[in-house]
Amino acid sequence: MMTDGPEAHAADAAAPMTEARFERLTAAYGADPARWPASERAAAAAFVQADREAAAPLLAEAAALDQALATARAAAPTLSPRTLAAMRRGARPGWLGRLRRLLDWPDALWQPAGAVAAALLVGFVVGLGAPPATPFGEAAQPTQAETAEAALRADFTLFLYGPAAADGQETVR
Amino acid sequence: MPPDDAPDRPFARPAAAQAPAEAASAAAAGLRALSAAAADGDAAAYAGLVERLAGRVFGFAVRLLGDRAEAEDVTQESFARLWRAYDVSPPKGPVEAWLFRTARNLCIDRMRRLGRLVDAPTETVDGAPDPAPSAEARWAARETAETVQAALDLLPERQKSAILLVHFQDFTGRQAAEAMAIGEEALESLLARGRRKLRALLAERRDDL
Repeated sequence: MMTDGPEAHAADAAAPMTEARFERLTAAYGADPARWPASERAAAAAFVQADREAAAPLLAEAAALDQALATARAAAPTLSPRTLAAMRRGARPGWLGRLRRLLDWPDALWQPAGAVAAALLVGFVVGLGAPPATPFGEAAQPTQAETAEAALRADFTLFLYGPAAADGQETVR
Repeated sequence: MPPDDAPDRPFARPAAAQAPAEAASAAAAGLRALSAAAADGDAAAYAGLVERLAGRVFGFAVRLLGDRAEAEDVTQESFARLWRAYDVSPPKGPVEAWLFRTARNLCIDRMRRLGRLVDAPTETVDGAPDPAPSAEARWAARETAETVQAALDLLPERQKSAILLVHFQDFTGRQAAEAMAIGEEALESLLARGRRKLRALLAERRDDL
């Protein structure tokens, strides 16, 4: 039989058992104290001891029906072996559950791993955008691509505006 | 007719209901552990839940519906829904209450669809012929069981469900109320009315014989 938690019917625990309440209890749950609310069992037992004349007929009436129900219960239905086998085959986590559990992986492992991965990613992106490093004390030398671009720009200026403009641009540079 | 010794042994329990409280508590703890393991994706725990609860859910459904095939479908669907729940959002309360509530709702859907409470099973409940029908006591017990089942089938669904959960599945009042999504006082009222009507129906049967 399933059991009540310790907090069950806490409010009822101190209430005295009246004959009316005992009658409702047996009318609902029967004569078996194990079926009565856990918090009322002791009070009900005390009532039975204190007033057997009132309790006995109520218990007898309830016990008769309990007996009939117990007899019916004994003829327990059983699942067919084929259905039970099918249910056993289907008894496993689904893909959605596996994904959820992966995402809910224990914090101790998942979150530090995520932090390290994020730090590596940020470092990689920042590193791509940074200028090339030069040794301390040396002037930065233009790269081959920068030299070629400057020469191309000078040629284009010479073509469009003539030698004076080309000289001016060289001056600006 | 009350048993002769009932007044002298007011706390005598029916033989079928003599499970010690400690064993029941251990069983409940075992189910909680299995449910937690299933929520963590343990496939063995899924199988354990089937072994422990499938027969009980089926027993509840077949008595409520009165039809083996429908009850087997309800049992399978209830567990399929439980697996999906573990995938997405595992049950917060006791898995038993969750499962029986689901099974009951599925049974109600089917009864509504059929437009009736399905006939009581007239065969032995496992579908096989009784292997030893000659023993008088066994015959009498079977007759009583069938009479009680027939009377149960005449009860309104809510009263019947309450009695099945408390007297056939050993749920406490609180757990049965949770499985039926009602308060404990409402459950007590359903039980009392159901038992009263059942007693009257059984008395009528006795008078008819």
